[in-house]
Amino acid sequence: MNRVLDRSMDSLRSLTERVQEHAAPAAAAQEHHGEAAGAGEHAEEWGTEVMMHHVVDSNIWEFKPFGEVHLPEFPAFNIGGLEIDLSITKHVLFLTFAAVLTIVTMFIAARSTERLEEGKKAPRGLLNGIEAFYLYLRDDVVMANIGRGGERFVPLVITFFFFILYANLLGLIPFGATATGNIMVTAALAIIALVVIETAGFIALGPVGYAKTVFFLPPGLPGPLKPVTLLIMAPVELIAKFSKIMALAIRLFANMTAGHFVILAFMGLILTYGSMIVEGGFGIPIGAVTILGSMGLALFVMMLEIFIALLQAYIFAMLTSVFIGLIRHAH
Amino acid sequence: MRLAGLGALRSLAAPVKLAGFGALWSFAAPVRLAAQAETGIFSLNWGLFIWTVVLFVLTLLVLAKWAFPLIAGGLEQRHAKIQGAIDDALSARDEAKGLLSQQEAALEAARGDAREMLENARQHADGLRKEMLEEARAQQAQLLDDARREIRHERDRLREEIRRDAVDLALAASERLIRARLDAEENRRLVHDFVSDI
Repeated sequence: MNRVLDRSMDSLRSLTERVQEHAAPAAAAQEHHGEAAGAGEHAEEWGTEVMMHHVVDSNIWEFKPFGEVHLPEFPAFNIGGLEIDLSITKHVLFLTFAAVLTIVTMFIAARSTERLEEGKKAPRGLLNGIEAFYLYLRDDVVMANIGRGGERFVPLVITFFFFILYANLLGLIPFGATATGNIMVTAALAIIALVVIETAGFIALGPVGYAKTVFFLPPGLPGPLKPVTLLIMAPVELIAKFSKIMALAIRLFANMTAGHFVILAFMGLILTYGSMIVEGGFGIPIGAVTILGSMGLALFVMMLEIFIALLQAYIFAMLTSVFIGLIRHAH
Repeated sequence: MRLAGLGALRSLAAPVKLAGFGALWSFAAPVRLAAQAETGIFSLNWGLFIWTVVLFVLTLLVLAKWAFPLIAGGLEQRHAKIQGAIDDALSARDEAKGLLSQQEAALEAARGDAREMLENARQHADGLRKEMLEEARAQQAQLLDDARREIRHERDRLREEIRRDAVDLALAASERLIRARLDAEENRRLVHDFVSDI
């Protein structure tokens, strides 16, 4: 875990260094040409700090260049050595938006369904779309993976899907923030999934059956080997439970964060090469071509991000149902 | 001896402690990272964790209480309604098929009846015609017979009458002859004339 984090930090650092290298000529230009100072400053600003600033959480909701909103802060307190700060941050705010949007979407669907029953009208518009999602998630995700008795998990999986989808998509709009690009948010969602999965397993298998998901002895094992197997396999099984959940959290977090870094890097290229145009001469065609290329690539990645927002929400919902199905039918 | 053992244990303690700290240190890596960069992308903000859980659970509860039952119920109801409509349509089609075959059978029967009736009528007409012809023939024969009998009868009657008249005339002629006293030649001629007058 430690090494993985270090490596990802290293790769981020090298990515931002590369962006800064592109900014270097602009900085040089600033020294030589006084008139290019403005563009040079822009390029300098667009470094690691700015990219990090766009991705990380904060107490200030910015509307550059229109101003900013300071979100309410509460004093932090300690519980069992953990410092808990319940201040409203950007990510809390956008999670709230996602929650409200999820509720509104589902309520519109519910109201349309009600009206449908009354007026005997054919369904259309938004209801059809939500219905398609609902039916797909119910029949092909939940029921297909959990099987009989899976109806009870339909609300959870559908809420997971829409909640994560909205949180993902809200990060793509201007002045938005990707709450699912925060490891604590994805960890919280994954731990909710963990609790549901393990509870479902406990209810379906009973105490003895559930214990067997950790302390499992294959039938026909000779007596002396039993303690050895338990000693080796129990930690493995236990780690497997948590690693699945960690993968769930890190997958969502990394996907949402990486996409934003790539978009920001392409946007950084636009500013960096903008300074070449200001510099004039041979820099103009190179700068123009690079800016157009970067814009196209940023747009492409943006489109990709919309798809990934859907895909990751689907994967989270799908894997949660798969894990519930696996533990309910364990051994 | 005992002291030496303790010393060995003590000398072992240092690396074990170190390893323990090392393990703790590496397990605590995310926390350490968070401490290093409080605003970094790996910052562990437990408040955010709690907010996420609270918001998600609230959303789930609200939806599970007020939205999902409605949607599921509506979908189920519509499913039932469409299934009912399909079943109705199928049964109506079967019914229509039955009716159609019934109609066809009735039509076939009616056609057969009509054919039979026509046949009967034709036979009847043939019979009637023959009968009428027979009757007409019989009547004709009867009439002819009647006519013949009448004619014969009339002829006989006339003949009788003529005979009576001839006798009367002969008597009258004889009377006249006698009166005129004529000769035989004359008589014969008279009689002859008289007779040819008839």
